[in-house]
Amino acid sequence: MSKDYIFSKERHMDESDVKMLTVDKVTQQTDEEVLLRFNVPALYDPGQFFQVSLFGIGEAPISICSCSEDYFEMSVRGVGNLSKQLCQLKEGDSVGLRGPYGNGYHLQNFVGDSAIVIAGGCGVAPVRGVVQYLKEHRNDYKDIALFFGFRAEKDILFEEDYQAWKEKNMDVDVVLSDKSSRPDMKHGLITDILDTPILQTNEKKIVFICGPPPMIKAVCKVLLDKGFHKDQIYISEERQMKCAVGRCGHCMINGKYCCTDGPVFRYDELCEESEGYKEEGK
Amino acid sequence: MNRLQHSSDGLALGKDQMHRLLDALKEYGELIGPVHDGQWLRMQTFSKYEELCLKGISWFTSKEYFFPQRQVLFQFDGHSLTRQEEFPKRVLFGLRLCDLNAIAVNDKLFLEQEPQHREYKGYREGLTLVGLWCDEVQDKYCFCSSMELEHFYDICLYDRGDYYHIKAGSEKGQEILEKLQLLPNGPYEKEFPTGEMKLSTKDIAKFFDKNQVWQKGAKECLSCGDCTTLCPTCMCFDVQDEVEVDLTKGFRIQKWDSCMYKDFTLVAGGHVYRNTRLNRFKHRIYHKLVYFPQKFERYMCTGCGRCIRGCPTKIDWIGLVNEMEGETQ
Repeated sequence: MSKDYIFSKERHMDESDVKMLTVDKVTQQTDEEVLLRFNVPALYDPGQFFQVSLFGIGEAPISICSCSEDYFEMSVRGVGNLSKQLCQLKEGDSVGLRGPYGNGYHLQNFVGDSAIVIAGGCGVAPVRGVVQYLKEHRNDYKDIALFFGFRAEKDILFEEDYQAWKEKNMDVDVVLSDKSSRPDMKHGLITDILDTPILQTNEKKIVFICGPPPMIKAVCKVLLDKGFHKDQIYISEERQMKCAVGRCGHCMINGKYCCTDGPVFRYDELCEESEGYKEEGK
Repeated sequence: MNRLQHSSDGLALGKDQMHRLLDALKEYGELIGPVHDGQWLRMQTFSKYEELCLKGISWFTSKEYFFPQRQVLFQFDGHSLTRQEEFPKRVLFGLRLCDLNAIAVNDKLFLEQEPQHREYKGYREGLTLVGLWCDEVQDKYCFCSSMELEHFYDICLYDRGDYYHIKAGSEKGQEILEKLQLLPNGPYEKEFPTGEMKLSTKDIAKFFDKNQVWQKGAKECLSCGDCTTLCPTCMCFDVQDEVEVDLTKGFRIQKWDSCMYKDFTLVAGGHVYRNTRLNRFKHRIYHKLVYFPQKFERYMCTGCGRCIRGCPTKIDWIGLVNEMEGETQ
């Protein structure tokens, strides 16, 4: 029996097709981030996103950070007009939603491989769904290693999950860039912790990356230097998006639409001339 | 639009009888055609044939009639939403082949991929397209002969001096013409006019790294967005909320936007992905000739020349492409 999904990746909602939903749970994660949970059945892939609205303020793409058919969660960092207001939401408040949109992480294609997840800052949110999927299907994958970078201890996201992940034999390695007051977390940049055995060879391995553009660029360079191929690396991109259905033009990265072809791209799908990867006109 | 196989057979209608055609067309909606208002030749409502100016190319396109500059996606009142249900019926009269083909391009983006754009579809289904064949190139900026245009209209008029040779291009056009009971005029075909401006190649992907040439155009760019506003195929848009003073009622609107504006690719946090005029200038041209065809198998440019004609600094990107092509010869 298929569930009565409120949202489904099979359904295509247009720009004016917004559904109202109440927030079931709000968790303050850090000074800047809150986690919004909606307890409604939804069919989505990790890495997909919703267009989230507050009427009178606007609409913005927010990535899904869970992996379940019974609920979905979104972690919001208050940096823009809308996201700052989303951070003020309380349980029972209404938001407008349409989605899920985009091309997510298709983890079922990599059964038998080792999975490596590298994320920085609020880029950890989109890959948390990936990690939850890997945890649920732990036996389908070989080694699993997670590398997360944050600015400081107060910025760490989803730490409450780490123990359960470790118990499932998934390595969690966290680095803090400002300073580290934690004995279990190194001080430095994410690229400083990538010199580990799992990354020494690229054989039957797949890497998922999400983070700010300079981090993605630096991490990809490290991986390519270690002998990884571009088609083993998946990255989640971020752009301004208005329609989320491939026509408003804002999110175009050269010929690709971040909203429909992405936000998850195989690294070789973004040509090397892509904006954000190549400095131009200097 | 249920299109008919192209045929050069048509009917004859004297210019002094044009009121008959216009009366028949009024059944299909409000008449909109090229009218000179003293300053601009632009698509405006009209009722008599004599009001029209059928020489020259309209400065503005007709896109505002099916893709309004400000389109309400829905009205909100608290948490309840109301969408537009009624869309006007309009006859776009005297469109040149460039502007007709532009509508075919727009259809690809808004109707021929899922989900369809609800509001565009509403306007588009209300449109009747009446073309006017260009006997000669309308001005020095036209380069339509480079752009592989097709016959795309409900009805097309060919100027034959005292009369028009009229052809139907769709079932709807055929239905309209049948009502007029015109005399058959046999076959008539007029060659597509070619002007001085020509694009020597559309395969510009190979020029991506020739920044020193692209820069010649980019450094003249004011980022004003005139090119995209006047372009019949530029359909990029922004989505915004307009709220009334009580802060509970308002509109979610869709507005024309331009990839030539710096904030087009601005993300929360302040990063701008296409930060330089060079990036933005190249993106516009590459979207037209490379990216759009990759996805939709047709060029997103119909050679109307408005992007150069309307540019305050007359950036001649055709000349730049020709220069790069010349270097490779």
